[in-house]
Amino acid sequence: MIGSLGVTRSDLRLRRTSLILWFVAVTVLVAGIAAIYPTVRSNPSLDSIYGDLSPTVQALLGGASLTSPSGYLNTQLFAFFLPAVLLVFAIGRGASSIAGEEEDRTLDLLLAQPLARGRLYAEKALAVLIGVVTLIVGSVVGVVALRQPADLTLPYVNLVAVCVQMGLMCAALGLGAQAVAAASGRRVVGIAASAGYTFVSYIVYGLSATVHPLSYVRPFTLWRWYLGGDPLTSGFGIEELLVLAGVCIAMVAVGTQAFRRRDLHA
Amino acid sequence: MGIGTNAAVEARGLSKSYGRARGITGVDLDVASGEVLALVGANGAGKTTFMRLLLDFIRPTSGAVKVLGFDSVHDSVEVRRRTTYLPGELVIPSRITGEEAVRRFTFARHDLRADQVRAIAERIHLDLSRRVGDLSKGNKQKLGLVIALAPRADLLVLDEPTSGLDPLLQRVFGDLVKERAADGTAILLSSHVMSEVEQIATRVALLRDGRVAVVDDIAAIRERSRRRGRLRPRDPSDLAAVADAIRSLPGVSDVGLEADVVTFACTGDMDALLKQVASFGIAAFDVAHAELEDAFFA
Repeated sequence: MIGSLGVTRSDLRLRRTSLILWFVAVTVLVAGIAAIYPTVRSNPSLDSIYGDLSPTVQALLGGASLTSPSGYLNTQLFAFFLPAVLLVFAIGRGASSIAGEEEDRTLDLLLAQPLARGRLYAEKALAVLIGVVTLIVGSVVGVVALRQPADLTLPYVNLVAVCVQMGLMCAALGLGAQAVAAASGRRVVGIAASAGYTFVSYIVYGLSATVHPLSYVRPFTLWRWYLGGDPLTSGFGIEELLVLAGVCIAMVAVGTQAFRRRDLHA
Repeated sequence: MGIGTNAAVEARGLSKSYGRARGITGVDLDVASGEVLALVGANGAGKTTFMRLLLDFIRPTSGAVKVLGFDSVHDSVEVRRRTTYLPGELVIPSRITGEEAVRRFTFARHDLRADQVRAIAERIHLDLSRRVGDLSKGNKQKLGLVIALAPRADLLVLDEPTSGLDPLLQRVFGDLVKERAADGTAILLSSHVMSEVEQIATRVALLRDGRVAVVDDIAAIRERSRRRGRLRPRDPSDLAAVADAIRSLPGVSDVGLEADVVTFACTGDMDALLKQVASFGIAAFDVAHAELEDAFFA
């Protein structure tokens, strides 16, 4: 039963070309940005320009220094750009995983088979997760391959840690999009909910560094659990991993319940 | 219909309301193993709603339906293990081949063998190696039929199965369905064209505004239905006499004159009518195929 995973395999097969292209694009993107580091490092005037920005903007951009390896990777890649790229993938895949098939009218035929709805939901969530993991591998490959040549003097484990925590955040938001879309039967509702939360929580997370009252809501932003422990300089955070993984599981649980109770659109 | 243990589908007081319109109300309907029951009715009469309730895509507002003894909601996986389905609005991802489509929509049917798939595909002349996006509407429908007919099943639920099929293939489809019924499979199919189902179905249920208006055997409906006929006497001066001779017969109605023929409508047995006109010289006699719709709407 568990061994077959027919839905997961079929979903991955259906989208394998697109996933391969995403993998290549993310790997090249990450490697490309890492490769530019030597030219930035040799230009300290960038730091003084960056230092003139307000602390809030600095926080939103991901840190204080632009020319240190961790400062460069944070500001250029991990604080916004790369998670944004991965979120486009994760939220899109999550929202279309169930609701997309329902809107395209292919879900009936899939569910006419002897599959429990909860099983279908979980297998589709696994396919979304495998997609995100593939892009995490692409990110790790890109940044680790350029670590030596670009002189990014950071421990390997920290590079992996930031990629994994980023991936878990994106997975949680993609699975959130799947849950909302599957509960409503509409792809756009899932995308709007997840992307809206992502954007608002990103702003709140950035502002919370300087606007004190916002520090209370900081734990409710997933960005806090991705970047708050500064994985590029400190490596994996156990608490961070647990929270992000917990949110992923909770999203699948909530989405499954909602999807099992609902009438499917014709 | 007291079918008892033989019933593949047993709906009791089955209702589904979607706010104001559509849905079905208080449907009691049985489908026996080995029979072909056609659900007939206008678009929106509730045919698809009834089918989707069987498969647990939607849940009843009240009442219940058992499929092969299993409750449609609580034992839905068992129901679908024994049932195959052809959706009315068939959509198959266009980027994959027919073969991949069959795999995607049958992977959980573990006893399905590749040769069963090939056999059906060959019979309806479908090339499974072609991309779904390159198939015509009729060929896509054939692909849906392969997915529904290849696996072994105790109940086939086919929503508008012949839509998009040419007449030759409609006949092949009819043969396939009759073979499965002869093996004891219960078949529930829907159509909005009566003439299409009368070749295939053994029983017909007419749905009107979400309720079962009539359920009857095809043979009984045919018996009840009116056929239109025309008689042309050799001698045109016999016209009025022929008309008078048949006018009073039971089952004959709408007798009229039209140029050199007597027109009429009749139901049931034609023996009395033939005997009545036998004493006249008749040049031509034709009776149109029974319009089963008339029997329902009369």
